[in-house]
Amino acid sequence: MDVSQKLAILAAGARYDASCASSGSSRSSGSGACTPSGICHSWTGDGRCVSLLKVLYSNQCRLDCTYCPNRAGADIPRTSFTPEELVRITKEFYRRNYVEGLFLSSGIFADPDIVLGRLVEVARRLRRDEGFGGYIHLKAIPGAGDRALREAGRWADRLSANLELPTSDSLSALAPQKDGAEILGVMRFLAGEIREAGSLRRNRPVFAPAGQSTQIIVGASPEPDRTVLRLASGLYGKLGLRRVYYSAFVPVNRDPRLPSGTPPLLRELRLYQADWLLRFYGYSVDEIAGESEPDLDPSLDPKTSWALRHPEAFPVDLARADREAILRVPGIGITGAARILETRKAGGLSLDVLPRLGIVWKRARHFATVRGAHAGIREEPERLRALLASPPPGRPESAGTRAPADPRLQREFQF
Amino acid sequence: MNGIERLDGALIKVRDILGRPEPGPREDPCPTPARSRRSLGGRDRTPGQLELGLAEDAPVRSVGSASERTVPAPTGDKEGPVSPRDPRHVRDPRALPVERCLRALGGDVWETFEYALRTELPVDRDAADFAVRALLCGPEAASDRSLPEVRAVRAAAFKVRREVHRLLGLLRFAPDPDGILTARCEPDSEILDLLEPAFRRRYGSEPFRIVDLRRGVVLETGRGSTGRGSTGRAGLPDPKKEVPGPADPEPVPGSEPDPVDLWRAYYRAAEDPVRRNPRLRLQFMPRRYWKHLPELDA
Repeated sequence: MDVSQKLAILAAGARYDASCASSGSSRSSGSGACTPSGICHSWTGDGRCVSLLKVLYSNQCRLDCTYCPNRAGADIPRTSFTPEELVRITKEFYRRNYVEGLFLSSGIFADPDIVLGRLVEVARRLRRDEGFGGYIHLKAIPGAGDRALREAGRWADRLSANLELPTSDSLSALAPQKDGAEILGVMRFLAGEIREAGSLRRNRPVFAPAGQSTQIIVGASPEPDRTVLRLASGLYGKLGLRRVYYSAFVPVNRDPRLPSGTPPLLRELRLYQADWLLRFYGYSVDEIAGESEPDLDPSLDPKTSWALRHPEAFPVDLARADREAILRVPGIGITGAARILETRKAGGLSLDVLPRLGIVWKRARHFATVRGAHAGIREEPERLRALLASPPPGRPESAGTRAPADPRLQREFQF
Repeated sequence: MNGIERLDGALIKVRDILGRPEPGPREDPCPTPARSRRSLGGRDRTPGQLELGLAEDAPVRSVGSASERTVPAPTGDKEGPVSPRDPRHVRDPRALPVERCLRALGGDVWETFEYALRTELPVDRDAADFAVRALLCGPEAASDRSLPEVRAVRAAAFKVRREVHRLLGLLRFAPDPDGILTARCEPDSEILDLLEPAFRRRYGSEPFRIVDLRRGVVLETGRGSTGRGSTGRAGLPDPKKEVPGPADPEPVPGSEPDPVDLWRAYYRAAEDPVRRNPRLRLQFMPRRYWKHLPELDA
């Protein structure tokens, strides 16, 4: 099999990993440098960004996870790169400005220490032999020892161990060879190393300066959005994760344990919106997806949904409110709130100006005033809900597949 | 008119507005109490050039974030300091004191003003008004989007920032027949010098070249120096004529695979057909950039 065929197979095998970021590192060397904000180099026909050369080292895998296209029982061509091939392709793609660097994952073709050792070898050759200063994201293979993980963190900018499913019960049901506690153990270890390297001990070697991330598949198992968001919130708060990625379950294998149908892309989008609210807007999980309504409303973004459930918090007077209150207004984001405050400080804020500040005024006007002047239509809540509900552009309206709820599968991961 | 002449023209316009001998019934640039006038030494009147430090008597910094450097103060000679944005062009000494004052305001006032004038949008008058208001009322006024000139200038500057960020990812380099890594583009704005620092970090000491086909300008680096010129100077084709693609050597049977073919194979494989959403791709990567992307030109 030639390199081009290998590349096509091992790139297709890695495309279900949602992570595409090349941000968070400012490493540089004689041959390349990272850009802290990250750079997108292309977008594929599915609208997803290409920032890194995202491939598997090998798609040979001894695990038989039901949802995985590379599972042991899948009837697909199997192949592996050699470290030389990966180093050469990465260097050439980087030199031509096709990518910011390498994202390297792998099937579990051998003992976890051996698998991680191969990934580390590629990273080490790039850094040490080629002086490569671009971005490297490596998978931290669960089951690998501390020594191998430390070596991975030495060469990589970011590490990630995928938690895969929102509860240990679901993991046991759909990926019986995986151990949730073991994955969390790896994440805890990485969190400790990252924290220590980031502290003031200047003599310590660098360890994954762009931190760690993880991925959760949604729609393959029956947990509600509240469970997914509680897990994400815990990972951000307790383990300091940089990102939690949500990947809509795509049925690639036939298995009676899995739901069939279309991927829940809309649910995935709503989870990302909720994730943003948790990280940057000061919302809590209870506010976004409470016990009584544990799922996000597919027809509304979570911020608008919260606003409609809390009419007592509106309208917000944009001429007087603080930043936190302004950020709660649907249609006003971080940039819009900053512009409102700047314009207010300069004395120019009025209802006429607001539509020109780059905010979604047709949404915000129902929830905001300027010194008592209201530009929205004072609608009944239900009519307002109908007015504001709409699928996002380019997305299917369907909420997609959902595994049937099973109250027995509700035990959450413990940190 | 080249970009530097345009920039200098706008700066001289600012100088002329502020240099009017008598304000007379002129509209107050800071009309509301909240838009407080910048401290002007206790005098409550529209300041002239002297108060704002527009006199031509001090060393100044010239434009260009890529290679910002102190340039000599105007000496009264016919030729002033050259522009780091393009050394072929000489700055107008009358413009430099105004530039110094705008830079001294801090924040993003100078960058916004300068970036706006890199676009092909007719914002010269708005840019002058923007600068006058910032100089008279303070840098906060440059963020007051209730003012039409602030909105126009900021929208133009945003176009430049967005295009720079896009092209940092979308430029595609390949060795030209002379062996130098070369990327071709047709940016909406004059931004080659803004792209340069990122690629200097990427390529280290390896020379590279970026060609702006729309303007017939080339930026070329090598061994620590940067040169700019017309496409003819670099031995590149006339941009008005049809431009051949990057010249990779013809593949020899049994040799290493062509990196362009590998990239196309990767790009095809990375797409998940179940998630197909071409509208979203267009939103991030407008079609006008596709011409120079090997993954999309087939």
